[in-house]
Amino acid sequence: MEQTKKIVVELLEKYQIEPVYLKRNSVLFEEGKPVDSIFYIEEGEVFIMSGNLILWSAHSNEFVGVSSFLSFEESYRFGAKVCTSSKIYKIPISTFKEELISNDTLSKLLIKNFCERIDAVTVRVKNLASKSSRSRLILLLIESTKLNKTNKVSYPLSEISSLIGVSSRRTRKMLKELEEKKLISYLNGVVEILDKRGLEIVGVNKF
Amino acid sequence: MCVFEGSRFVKFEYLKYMAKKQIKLDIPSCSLCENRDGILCSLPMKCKETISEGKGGNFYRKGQIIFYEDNHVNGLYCIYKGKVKLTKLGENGKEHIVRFAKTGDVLGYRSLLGNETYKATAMALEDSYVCLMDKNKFKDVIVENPKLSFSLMELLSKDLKNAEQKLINISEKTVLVRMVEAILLLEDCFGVDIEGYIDVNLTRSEYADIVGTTIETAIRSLSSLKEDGYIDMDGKKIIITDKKGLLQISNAFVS
Repeated sequence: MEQTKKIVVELLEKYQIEPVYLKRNSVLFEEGKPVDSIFYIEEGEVFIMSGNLILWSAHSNEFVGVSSFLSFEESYRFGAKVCTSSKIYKIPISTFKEELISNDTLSKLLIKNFCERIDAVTVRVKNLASKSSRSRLILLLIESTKLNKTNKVSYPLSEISSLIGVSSRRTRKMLKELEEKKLISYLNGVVEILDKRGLEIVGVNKF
Repeated sequence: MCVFEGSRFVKFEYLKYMAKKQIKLDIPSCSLCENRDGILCSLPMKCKETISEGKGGNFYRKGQIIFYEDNHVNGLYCIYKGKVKLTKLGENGKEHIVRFAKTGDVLGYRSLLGNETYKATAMALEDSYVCLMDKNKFKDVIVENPKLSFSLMELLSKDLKNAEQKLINISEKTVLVRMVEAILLLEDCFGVDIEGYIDVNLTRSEYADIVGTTIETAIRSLSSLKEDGYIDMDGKKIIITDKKGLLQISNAFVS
């Protein structure tokens, strides 16, 4: 992966595309706006959203905005918002198209991104259909701490609710229940996992 | 099963076995295949011949598994004739139907391109003939043919769009609206037969798996649509009697 990242960044430097550093909640593009650029995330995390619903999150070494371009759509199908401070390259459509046809590494990376993304969304749909909201919450808490390698969950309450597909009120109630069992601490809007193993056991067992 | 040659005594199981005997079908090479809609169909002749080298063809009876979720990828499947459903296993053994595939569709391409294992289980919905192509030959053809690489990306983009739409549906829409959209999707995917029924027979459990709900709720939704005159049912067959009405229900949520 590091090698692919290096190749993409070298390619961007060749076209003299400078990175942009964006803070949390910055908007990359809005739903319905004309498709004019593709975005490459070198560092950070970006949410793809339909209204207030978070569809999936793109991480380091991933492209965003490609599917609207490949579907020959004139406007972005969804919006994109920065989740954590990110280093992003904005690539004009014409440059991207030119490279896509000739660059084997780029097409392989895109194909890999697409496959992973489809898998992630399909698993989310499956979880929504078959897992309880409590199981989905626990799964999200565990997965997000794995990604950022700490015990603290980087998403605020509204984003957690959107990702698990329930209301904020219900999410807050479930977090309080887990806090009472001393599995997490929920203070000032920040969730921290105290007992990961206990959380995994609770996520599997129905209660 | 037991047969005595020359004897008048033939067990019933043998007669049943003969009745169910597979009809042999010679699956042609990709360059001679009559299907025209799949992504492999638009390849140059030379690429089709490469893919066809060492190609196998198998017959799958209704309900037979073509490949299992989490099994290692052994090749690319193409449906020569038939209908297939792809499912993922959820909690408590509940299946979730990811998508359907029909004649000309390719299966397992995402797993081949992105991962080492299949991400869903493929099961034949009716008696089907499926080709199996060597994964290394397919990868060679992609390298030689940048246009195929681009077509695959377009196909993946379409898959992502469908997956995203499904996520929006299950998060925001009621079971009834999701059932309406499932029926419209099935009609769009499989078409209708001579009598106007959707050309696929699914159980109520499978409708529940598509929509992501329980069997009881799925049955209630279908009955409700029938009572209101939008559909009619004859056993497992469904016919849309008021398509405009169904589209209004589906779009009403959006507006």
